[in-house]
Amino acid sequence: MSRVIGIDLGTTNSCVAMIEDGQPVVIPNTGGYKTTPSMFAVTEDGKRLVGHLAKRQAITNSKNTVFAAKRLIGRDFDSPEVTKARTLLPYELIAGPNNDTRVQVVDRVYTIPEITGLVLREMKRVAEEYLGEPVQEAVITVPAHFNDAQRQTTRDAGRIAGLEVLRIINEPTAAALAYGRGRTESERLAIYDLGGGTFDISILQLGDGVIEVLSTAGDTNLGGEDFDRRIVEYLLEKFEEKEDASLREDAMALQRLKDAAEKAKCDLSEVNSSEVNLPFIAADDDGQALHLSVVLERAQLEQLVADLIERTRGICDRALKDANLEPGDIDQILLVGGQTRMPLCQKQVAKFFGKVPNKGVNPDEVVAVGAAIQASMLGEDQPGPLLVDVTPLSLGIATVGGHFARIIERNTTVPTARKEIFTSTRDNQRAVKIRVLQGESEKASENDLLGEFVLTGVRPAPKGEPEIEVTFDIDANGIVSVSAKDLATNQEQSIQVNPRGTLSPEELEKLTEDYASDEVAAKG
Amino acid sequence: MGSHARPENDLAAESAADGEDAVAEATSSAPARQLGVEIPAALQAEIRQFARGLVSMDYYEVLGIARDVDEAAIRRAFFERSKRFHPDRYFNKQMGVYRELLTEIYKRIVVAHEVLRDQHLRKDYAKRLDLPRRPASEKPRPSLRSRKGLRVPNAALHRLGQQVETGRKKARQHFQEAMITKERGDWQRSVELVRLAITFDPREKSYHDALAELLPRVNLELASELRRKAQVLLARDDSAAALPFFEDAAKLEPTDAELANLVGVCALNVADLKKATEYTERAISLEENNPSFRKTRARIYRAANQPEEARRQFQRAWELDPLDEEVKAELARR
Repeated sequence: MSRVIGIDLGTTNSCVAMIEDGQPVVIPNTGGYKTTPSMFAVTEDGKRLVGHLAKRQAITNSKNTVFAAKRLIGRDFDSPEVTKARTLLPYELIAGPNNDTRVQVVDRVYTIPEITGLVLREMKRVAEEYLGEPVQEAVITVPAHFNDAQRQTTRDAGRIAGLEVLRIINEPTAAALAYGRGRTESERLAIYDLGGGTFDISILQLGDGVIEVLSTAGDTNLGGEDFDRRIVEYLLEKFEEKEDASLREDAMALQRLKDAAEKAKCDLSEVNSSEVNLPFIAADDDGQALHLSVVLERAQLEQLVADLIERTRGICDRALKDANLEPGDIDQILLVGGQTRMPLCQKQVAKFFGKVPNKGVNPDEVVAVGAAIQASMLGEDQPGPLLVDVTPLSLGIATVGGHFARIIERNTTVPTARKEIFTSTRDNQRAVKIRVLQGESEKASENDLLGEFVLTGVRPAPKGEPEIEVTFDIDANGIVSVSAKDLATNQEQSIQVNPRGTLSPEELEKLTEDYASDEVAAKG
Repeated sequence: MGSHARPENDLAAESAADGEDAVAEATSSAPARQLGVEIPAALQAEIRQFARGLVSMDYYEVLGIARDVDEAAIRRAFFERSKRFHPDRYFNKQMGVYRELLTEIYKRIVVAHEVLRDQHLRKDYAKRLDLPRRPASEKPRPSLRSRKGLRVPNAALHRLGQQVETGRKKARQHFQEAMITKERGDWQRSVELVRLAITFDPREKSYHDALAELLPRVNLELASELRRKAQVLLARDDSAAALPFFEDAAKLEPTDAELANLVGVCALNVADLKKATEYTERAISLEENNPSFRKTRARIYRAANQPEEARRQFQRAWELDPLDEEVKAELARR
């Protein structure tokens, strides 16, 4: 039987792990690193690079180096997130046929699942090289607050990478699986996961051999990259004050600044002051070289990002409220994601929960380890902790006046089924349209549409009289089915909500084949 | 792991349990490793039993707990049930209809836990449970007394009636699907579905008749599949692996002498002389004049240190097939 791997697909870095002889192993790449940059680039001579190779040439080739593609997964081109990203990213975003977001790299347009797939394929390759045998199946982690389209797009990316994705699990949940492995005592756990691009908080109950997710909350657009941007902005302003020149149009200078900002941020987790020194960053109108040199203090950094960390508090509150708990009810707090190395972050978490966070896990690797544990449980029939998960977002239907009627509340344990009775809004109404939505807004239009269908053959009656029973069902794989039934006539209509990624089935099929033959060619 | 799926205080399950026993009887010849369903027969029966009970079980019964337990006990019960009935536990197993049943069971476990772990919901639920379930217009009737003199609340009786009705309906659905599946030629699944129908409505004779008609055909199909697998293993000299497959096949086809002999050969190879004797004797009684069965018997005697008996059997084999060089050599050995 071939092995099943766990992949933590991160915004900045990705990590792959597996269970070997009953022990989790984080697999190093050929360079010896246990994490690989989630980056993709095409060089001028048309060579494709992934991981460290892509990162190494990012400064000189910033227009054709794609990073943080995870923040674009499943997002419409005209969404506020993408509109904002277009002003910030050095690479070029364009609109795809379904209003999806794509990237122009050198002379070709790449879809987001494709770029993500190339990163996943690199992780697959790392595992195969280590094992000396092919790998076909994987469990992949995503932020807890990814919606259906984002999850499906991640699955599609897995397929393009030549992987059968057994399950998509949430990053904080994976961290809890890694922590809970081999523990038998009953504990309540909070996972505070501040990664490169997303923030999640999950509350879990551990017991003998079971890990139950009680609640989860998050923000898919809050992470270390935002911290870096604050620093870049600060450095740009300092430079403009001093030189009366701007670097904002200079892609290479911006890439150097971004790298320097990230490095300074990491330094400031260890020391109190860090000097950002970028000589020859630009030239003035007379051709005179300009240098950037700014000393950044930890206090200054903390001031720059304080509101970002503050934003996580409100989300923690919501997760606790959904779990019916107070901060004091939590026994252990786990910090996950590189950004939690920041002392201010740790301080604020400790303050919120009234407890010092647990330092026992590696924040960069714990998610991949958890994915590997779930992978071996599902794929190889290994005994492991059983994960009892929840649905992260509410599900319901649109009702008259554009309201959203929740049928399954967020944080409901899955698999589950719920029913509710609805009625007609007009006299002698013969058909009812059921629009299936996912999200937390009271307004139907602000939630994601998962699918729709029409129930016909409703018994003619005065408005408000017919009883139409709507049933929502979520199975263990997270697949949603919805049915509607007129209780008077037993007329029934149902759909399985096929989660839709951003690619059409034909395009996905074509890309999968293209990359499969591409891989054979590369090996042969 | 115990059989905690069976509700301790489940009135309905008790009243209908005889039906389930009858089914167990009828299908006891089914092999342990069903090719279509990769979970043990005992677990299959447990799942069927639980699924049938669902209609009448209240949330406490679904979790298998008493009404007055505390929060920690509810959680423990939920975790125990999850370990047994969460569909992920059997993710890479062939489950046939059992996956759907398991999911149905687990969904109820989820709802039961959700209600009982929340103080307010639990209180409301407890109140509702104690309310008699009948139209408000009806005059309250005195509660009936059961044989043991215990008060049986009307609600429980009502639920019992409801359970029988819903059970029949479900049984019909399963049976209809079974017949469609049969038309498509998927015998194994069809049998599973008929078994389910019987679990939900044990007294319907036509279901038992259908099962009686289907079983021999499925058994034949299964037996030949098992036999084929076993022969591959035996060809690889792996008697230990082949033995259980041959044994299951032989249980399905108890009148196949050749199969009984093969079980005997494998059992002898793994030095299980008792089993070897039993099956070889059966082969001989089915087909007295088969020299290979005698040869097997002879070798078993020899392994049991009974050279005289062994010689007699070789002698008989030689009489039946005087050209067998192997037997001649054996007889000449002394």
